[in-house]
Amino acid sequence: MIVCLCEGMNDAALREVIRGGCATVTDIARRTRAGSHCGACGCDLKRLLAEEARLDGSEARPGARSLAAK
Amino acid sequence: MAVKAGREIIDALNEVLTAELTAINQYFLHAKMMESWGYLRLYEKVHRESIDEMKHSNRVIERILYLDGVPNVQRLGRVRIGEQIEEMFRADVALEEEAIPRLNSAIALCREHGDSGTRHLLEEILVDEEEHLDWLEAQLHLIGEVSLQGYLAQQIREE
Ligand code: FES
Ligand SMILES: [Fe+2]
Ligand SMILES: [Fe+2]
Repeated sequence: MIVCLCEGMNDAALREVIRGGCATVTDIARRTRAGSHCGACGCDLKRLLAEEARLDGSEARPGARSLAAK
Repeated sequence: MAVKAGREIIDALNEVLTAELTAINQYFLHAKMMESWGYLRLYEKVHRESIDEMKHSNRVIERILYLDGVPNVQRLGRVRIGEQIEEMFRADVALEEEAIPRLNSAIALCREHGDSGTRHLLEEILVDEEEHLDWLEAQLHLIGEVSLQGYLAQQIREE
């Protein structure tokens, strides 16, 4: 799916950015500009962040960041 | 009709209009992507769906103007764009599945306020959306039956 139409970014690209350390919608916007235009994708960005946080948590790496707690 | 009732119906019509305008764009882009991939048969059908949504918008705008309201052509809903055919159909299903209860509650509002003209219009649009949803579900069913490859092989030629 194209998640951010304004920036032309799909879910795969955004997940990569999140795995690369973006923990909030603001982080993503700063790094890629996705979410920084009309803002219509905000809910979907939050959903991706939450999903990635869950995946991250389920790996149970010691010291893995918990985005859900933020 | 009381002023407040008129206001409520205009608001409901504007909600419907937002969804129609969103659908025009979503189906239009899906159709163009299908065309660019060479699925000309699908392109014809989905392009026609986009035009149908424009016809719905046309009638909703006329009705809002008739009720002395301002059609809100500024607001757009979430445009969901898939990157493969199946994803596109699922995105379109999601849009239609939101449209149907919205239309049903607007129809109930019209009945409550005795606005038969608006109710009649919305009922016609509702039937179109139900048929559209039915078509989308049939495509997803076909993909399940004959595989995506088998399905897509049938979509290359022009109607
Ligand atoms: S769709 Fe992401 S900022 Fe507009
Ligand atoms: Fe429609
Ligand atoms: Fe439709």
